[in-house]
Amino acid sequence: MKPLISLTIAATKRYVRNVSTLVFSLFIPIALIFVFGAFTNQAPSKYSVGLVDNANSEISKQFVETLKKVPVFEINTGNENDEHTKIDKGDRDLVIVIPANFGLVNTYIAAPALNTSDSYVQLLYNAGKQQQGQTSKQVVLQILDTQFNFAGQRRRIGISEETINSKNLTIIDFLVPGLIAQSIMQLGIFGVAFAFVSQKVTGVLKRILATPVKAWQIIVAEGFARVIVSFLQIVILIGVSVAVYQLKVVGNLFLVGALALMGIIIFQSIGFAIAGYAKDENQVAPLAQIITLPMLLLSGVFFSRDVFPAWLKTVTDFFPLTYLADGMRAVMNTGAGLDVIAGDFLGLFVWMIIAFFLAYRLFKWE
Amino acid sequence: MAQNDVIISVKNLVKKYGDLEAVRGISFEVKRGEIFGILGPNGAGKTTTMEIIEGLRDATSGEVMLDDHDALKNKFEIKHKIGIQLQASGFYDNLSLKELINLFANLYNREVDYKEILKEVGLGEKEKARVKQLSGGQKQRFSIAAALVNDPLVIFLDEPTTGLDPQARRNLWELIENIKAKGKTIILTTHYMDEAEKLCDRIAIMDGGKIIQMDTPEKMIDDLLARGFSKPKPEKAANLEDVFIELTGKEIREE
Repeated sequence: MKPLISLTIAATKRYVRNVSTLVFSLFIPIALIFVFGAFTNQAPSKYSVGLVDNANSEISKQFVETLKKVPVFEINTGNENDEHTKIDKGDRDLVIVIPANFGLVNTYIAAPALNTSDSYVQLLYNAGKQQQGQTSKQVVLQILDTQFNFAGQRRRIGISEETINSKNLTIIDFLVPGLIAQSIMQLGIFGVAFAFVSQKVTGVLKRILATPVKAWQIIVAEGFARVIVSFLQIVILIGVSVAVYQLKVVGNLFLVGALALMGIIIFQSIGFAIAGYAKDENQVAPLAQIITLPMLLLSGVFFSRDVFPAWLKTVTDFFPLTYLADGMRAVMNTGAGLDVIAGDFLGLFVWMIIAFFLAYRLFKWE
Repeated sequence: MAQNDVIISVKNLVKKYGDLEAVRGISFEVKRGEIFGILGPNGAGKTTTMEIIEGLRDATSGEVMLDDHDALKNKFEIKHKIGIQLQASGFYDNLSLKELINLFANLYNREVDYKEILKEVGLGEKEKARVKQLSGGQKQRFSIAAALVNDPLVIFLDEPTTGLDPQARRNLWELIENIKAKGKTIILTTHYMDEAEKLCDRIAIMDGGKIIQMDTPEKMIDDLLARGFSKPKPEKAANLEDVFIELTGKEIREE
């Protein structure tokens, strides 16, 4: 056990101290999060408000005009169905529905509760934007008070509230699962391939094998060290995104971990296969690039594959990084369970067998 | 020679790479506590022979006994008894000398006092350094330090002084003699005849995969003279290397 633990610790230290691989697999993804994050958060102070005017009367238009003057509101008018869909998708922070009888019922009543014949302005809140919702409610109430001069009377126009569990997916929510998948791939393929080929070339492996250590112990230690580093990177990437850009992770974290582990095994095996095939570092770079670049661009890490022509989408469906990124995204964004991502799991499992077989056939110690 | 005096015994060792016969049925014995030199031109089979005894390569046929163990069969047991400095020895980047020594000790399931080992090879001040920051001589001394972590019976040194300046070579000779003084057996390859003459108790000269002569350096020289050999130009009592050392001193230069 001592040789194995010692080799694992040594491999982890070596990896963490290797500046260039760390830059590629950690700092670049973090930088990308900040770049994309800067795009998303351009005007965070404006609320996107959907307005549905079912009354379309002089009084309702006056109300709408006043709403439009509220600086923090970005008013978009539309019909009720469209606005419902938009708040579901997270495109609206708030939807205001003006009832057809708006302003027609405006007499004082003494009853403590509003009865059904009274008028309700419906507010649909986005559950992810509670703060904005509460502020908006106060603004709407004040406008109603002013317009209808409720002071000292009971309000005749009430507010009915509903909270919508919007998906609220931002670019960050889309991007982070993909970036995690991408960092697993880079660390696995580049981290393993370069490290092992350079150990072969410089005679380090031969020297280590001159001790009583067993070959499998070296492989397991190197692999396990990268599992540790990979998981640290995932925690850092998620942590930064949650802290700075309010990334929402709704899914099961164990499922995220399981997907990550499968990805790590696949891409490390590919790394070992490359290290086995390549004779020196100069052969590693093109091989690793040929494998990683198409996946980086076409596996839907940075943009959705929905824009692809059908044939390209079909081809890229089978990329290991596609399975990993899609699975991660489904779990993290929508809280998908094992049943939903069974296809991605199966795809990753098949790739795991293929990659393991390749590594086994191609890896050589000298 | 009593059986116990022999620590390594090689019989009819053959190594073939396809059609190429790198080692052609050699036999020799190494005595406990001696420095045994294997000399020969490049491609003579020196490194192959060493690496078979070390358990890094399989033999095609033959027998190798090390401390009464079959070295061709019990490779892992043998590895515990030997220390190895490889010709092109590499060590991990990004680890300090201290970390490397501790790592190597752990690979033998041992704990060592890294300070003592580094001090023994004259690198006591360098525990935080990385191997790539060391000079050529320091690298070789570190390589020997790594070979000492398991307190081995036999130490294999493959061309330890190649590429070193005269000061660093002399410094390494001292280190090798100190290790010998601790009762360790050393097997050494070198291309420097003065080095072999100074350090080795006995020498095997290999060529074309065979041992063509094996004896003490003095005996070999005496035999050559007895066959009527004489140098075309009698040598002076000093050579250019003596001049160099006289002028630049024995003090070792690093960096």
